[in-house]
Amino acid sequence: MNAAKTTAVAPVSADEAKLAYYEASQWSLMRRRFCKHKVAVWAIYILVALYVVCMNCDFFSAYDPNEFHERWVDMPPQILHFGKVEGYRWPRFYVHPSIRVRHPVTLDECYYADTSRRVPLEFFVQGRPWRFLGLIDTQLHFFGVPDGESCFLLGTGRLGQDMFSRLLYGGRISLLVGFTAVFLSFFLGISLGGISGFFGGKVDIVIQRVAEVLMTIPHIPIWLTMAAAIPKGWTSLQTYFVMTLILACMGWTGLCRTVRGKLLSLREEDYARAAVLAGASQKRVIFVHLIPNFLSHIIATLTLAIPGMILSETSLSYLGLGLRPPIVSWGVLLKEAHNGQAVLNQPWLLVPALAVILTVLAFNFAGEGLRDAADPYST
Amino acid sequence: MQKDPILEFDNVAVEYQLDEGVVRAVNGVSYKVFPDETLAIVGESGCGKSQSSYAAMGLIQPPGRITRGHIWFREADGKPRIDLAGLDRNSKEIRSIRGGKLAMIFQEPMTALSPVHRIGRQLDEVLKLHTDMGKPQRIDRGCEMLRRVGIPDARKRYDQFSFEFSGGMRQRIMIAIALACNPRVLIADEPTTGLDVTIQSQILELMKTLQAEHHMAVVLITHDLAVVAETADRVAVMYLGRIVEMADVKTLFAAPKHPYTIALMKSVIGSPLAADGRLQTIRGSVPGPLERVPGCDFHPRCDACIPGLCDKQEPVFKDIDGKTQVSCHLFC
Amino acid sequence: MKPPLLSVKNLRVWFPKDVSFFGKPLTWVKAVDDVCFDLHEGETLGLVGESGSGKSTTGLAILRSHRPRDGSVLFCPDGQRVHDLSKMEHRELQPLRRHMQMIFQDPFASLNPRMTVLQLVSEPLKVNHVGNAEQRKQRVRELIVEAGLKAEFLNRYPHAFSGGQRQRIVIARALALQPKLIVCDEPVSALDVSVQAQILNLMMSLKEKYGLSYVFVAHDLEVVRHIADRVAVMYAGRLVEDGTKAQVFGNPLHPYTRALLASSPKPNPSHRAKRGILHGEVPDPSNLPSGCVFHPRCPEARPECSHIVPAQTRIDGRNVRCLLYESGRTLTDPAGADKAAS
Ligand SMILES: Nc1ncnc2c1ncn2[C@@H]1O[C@H](COP(=O)(O)OP(=O)(O)OP(=O)(O)O)[C@@H](O)[C@H]1O
Ligand SMILES: Nc1ncnc2c1ncn2[C@@H]1O[C@H](COP(=O)(O)OP(=O)(O)OP(=O)(O)O)[C@@H](O)[C@H]1O
Ligand code: SF4
Ligand SMILES: [Mg+2]
Ligand SMILES: [Mg+2]
Repeated sequence: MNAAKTTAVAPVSADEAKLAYYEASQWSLMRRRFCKHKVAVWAIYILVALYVVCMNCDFFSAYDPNEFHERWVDMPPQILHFGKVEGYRWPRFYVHPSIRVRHPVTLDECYYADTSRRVPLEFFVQGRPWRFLGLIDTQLHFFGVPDGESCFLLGTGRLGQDMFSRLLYGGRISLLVGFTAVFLSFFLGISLGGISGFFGGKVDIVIQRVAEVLMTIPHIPIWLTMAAAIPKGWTSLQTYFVMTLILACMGWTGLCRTVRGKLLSLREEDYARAAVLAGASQKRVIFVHLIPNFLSHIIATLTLAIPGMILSETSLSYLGLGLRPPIVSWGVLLKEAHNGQAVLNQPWLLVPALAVILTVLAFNFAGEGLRDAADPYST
Repeated sequence: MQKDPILEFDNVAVEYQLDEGVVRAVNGVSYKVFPDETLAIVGESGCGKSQSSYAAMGLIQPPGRITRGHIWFREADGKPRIDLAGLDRNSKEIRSIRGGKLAMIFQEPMTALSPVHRIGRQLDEVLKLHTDMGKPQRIDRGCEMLRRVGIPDARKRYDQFSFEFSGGMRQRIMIAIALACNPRVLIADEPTTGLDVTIQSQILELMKTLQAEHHMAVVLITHDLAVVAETADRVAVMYLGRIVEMADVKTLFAAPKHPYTIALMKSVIGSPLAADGRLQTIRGSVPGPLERVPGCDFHPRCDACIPGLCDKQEPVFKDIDGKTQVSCHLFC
Repeated sequence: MKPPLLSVKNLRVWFPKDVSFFGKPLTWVKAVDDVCFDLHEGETLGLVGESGSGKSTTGLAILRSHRPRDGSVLFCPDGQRVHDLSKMEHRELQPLRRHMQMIFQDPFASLNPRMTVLQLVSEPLKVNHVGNAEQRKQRVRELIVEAGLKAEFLNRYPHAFSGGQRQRIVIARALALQPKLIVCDEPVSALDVSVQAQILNLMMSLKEKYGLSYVFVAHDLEVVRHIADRVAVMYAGRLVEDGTKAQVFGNPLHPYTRALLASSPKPNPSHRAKRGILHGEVPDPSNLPSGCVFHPRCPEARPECSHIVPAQTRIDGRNVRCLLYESGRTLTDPAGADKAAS
């Protein structure tokens, strides 16, 4: 009949690639779009590498981060080289051992690289014991040097701790704080924002006013009070949890608003309305229509929120309000570097700052890529 | 003929080089516009109406570019003509012409005005750029323009923001800004799309009055044949980046030649119905921007298609009877 | 006599504009005010008016996407029991929803981008527990072919379709439950001319085939003239005139209807009549003029128009809301009545 006569021609040519595009789901469209964003893809690689290395810092570090090497105090980094080493057939990584001498004029202690000798790095060696995933006892480490030799790739601290190991252990704490704090605030934010956005009315007004009040309170004094309230006797683990809680309590407001705004706008979308008019229940509208369309935005928002948390932890610890030694975090490391004239005399102590910058940048680029990909139709 | 054309497109093409392929947004467009004349460009969405005018204004953004052709523009009678297609889109020449002697009204009146500047400031900017008037003169001129486009209380409105105006009012302000420097050519890209009929008739009437006062040439871009019938002197019908038919308005409506024009006119709601009491339609749909049709662009949908010719060979755009130019094998 | 399929009586939809600190509305946006009309089975009612005149809001209030502030919406899908939708709770409405569906203006916004055609079209069936998965799939296949698409499009996502094709999906979806009433909110305004014709043809055939009734919202007079049986003209939230198509287009009574008809362009360059231009703009619905809402723009306004609110007047089976036609007042100005009648 007439309907058949006016049949629209489907976009011609049914070749495979096109069909694949037409039948591509939202997620695969998003993935495609994300992959186009080269910087973001690299940022994701960097982040994955950072997390893998830092979460497995026991494995990747050659020393215990709190082990003191009295002989090697304030030593500059031993540079990693690649080349032939006596006694071995194939070229490999090696370091020159350091020699400690007194400066003939200033009488300061200083280190020289002994370029006459080459200490090869060995991989997958046995070393100090640790537990894989807290379960399996093992002594395997990624690299090490023969007994009696030293290998401080990023130099040592004032008490002779290996900075490379400290960087990795610090990374574990800092990166985890960022993650857990964001997830905690995510739960607060999404549940409060969701309630606020979906039910509206009085609930909405109350939640929004609370969020506003929280937002107007300056953060530093709150942190100060809260940090001061932590009893001195607490273990480092307890302090750590309280820290993440504090961060989460201050951080959920922004997320709550984003969630609420997005929900409000999605609820007004024609397709949500169409589902209601087709007879769909509220539950179905929320779970089938609203949440999936909103998840991608939330993921992007979260990714962009993590660096803020990491920075907060770092600055708090740096100010001496957050974590304290013996817990190692990037903030703690920076606080140590701050003492004395590190910038001039021991610049390697500032490497954690580079790590923070790298992480924050990577999160920002990745988050931006995700945000662009979250809406595969916009141009 | 009588006068020299002010604006002349000569086989202009605009292409977008995308990862997925090449989009031929405009594919060999030629037309001339004379003073005091309204040329309407009609066609369905995506046929390249806006892109062809952006080419003249130097507004094609990479990855798009003008790949061939010339756009000749004469700033004043007797002056040598300039090729706008050859100018860099940020060059000084194009900036001195754009918005001055060659003005444009954009499709979206909501986004074409800056929401953070008072409309007076936006008027002032154009005048500052293209004239050497002093500040008080510019304000006078700005208010006068607002009055002329029918905005009451012009001095007060001069200091307001664009969101304080309704859609119709914003379009009037756009016109005021476009006409502030007495342009020779006004390109109006769907100036009334999205406005109500009552407002549309106000705006079109206003454009006619102002055109007569300024002796401008107007290029009116639209997809509404009724608007064309009411306002244009000559009409160019576009399909897939090409002009398929061009004629003066009466000839075109009385005797459309190209099968696409004929089909388009028949499918306008309100025109005679088909034998079964239904609206007449064009078979199929417009191909996607990346799809390439061999031969005549329209042949898969054309009722008069000549197999073996139309699907193989591209028709040329030429004059058939001294009145109408058509690009179709039926008229070769 | 059978009750009409849909009977809207004194419908009023107001939105709170400024709200006091305690959430109490101080001023109202009177989007729809005192609207009455009937729609019989198999009929199409065209609802026309300028932007902001409350057409969409009326449509949405009929389907109870907005809760009316006042008035009633009597719906009688089976020709016997009359339900007043305006007073019902969501739970009571649920079983009635299958008899009334909606088609939206923007085909890009009304389809969930994350669902395939199959999921989209079968959703109404699924939520109303019709058939099993296999039967539903079969039904969806029939529906999309009926709507002029191909059966192999079943697994595609909306981004694969053009505007016209998406509108076909929307139509297939609206048809899924075989409703009695479909409210179409400007279903063709976002489409190109040639696609408009295709979609309108489709809607006409489906109407004849299934005996549907449409409330067809549009701002394009030609579209309404083509598709509607009855026409209702809205201005600033009020219904200013309604009647059969022949009455409204052939002999418009209300000055606004006349102005609207006069200002729409005609595709005929040989008769470029000087168009009647209606000056001014649609009023802000939160700050409506006193008296007749149209009086500031009305070419035939009298002094009393600015303070007397005209009531709905019935003339020859049609309704007009204008002081010129209120009984008793007509006599004071025969000229106006003459003009109206001619
Ligand atoms: N930035 C861009 N990138 C790629 N392609 C583009 C871009 N801008 C326009 N195009 C393509 O150019 C073609 C012509 O677009 P144009 O905007 O000129 O159409 P139009 O005739 O003005 O349509 P409308 O009536 O919708 O305004 C379209 O097919 C479009 O896909
Ligand atoms: N949810 C809402 N809250 C407040 N005001 C609203 C809401 N929905 C609509 N309005 C207002 O009600 C009036 C009527 O709107 P409506 O969308 O019904 O108009 P319309 O006739 O459909 O116009 P259009 O042709 O632009 O779609 C408008 O002024 C609009 O701003
Ligand atoms: S060239 Fe052929 S296919 Fe193209 S419009 Fe003319 S008759 Fe139709
Ligand atoms: Mg355009
Ligand atoms: Mg509407």
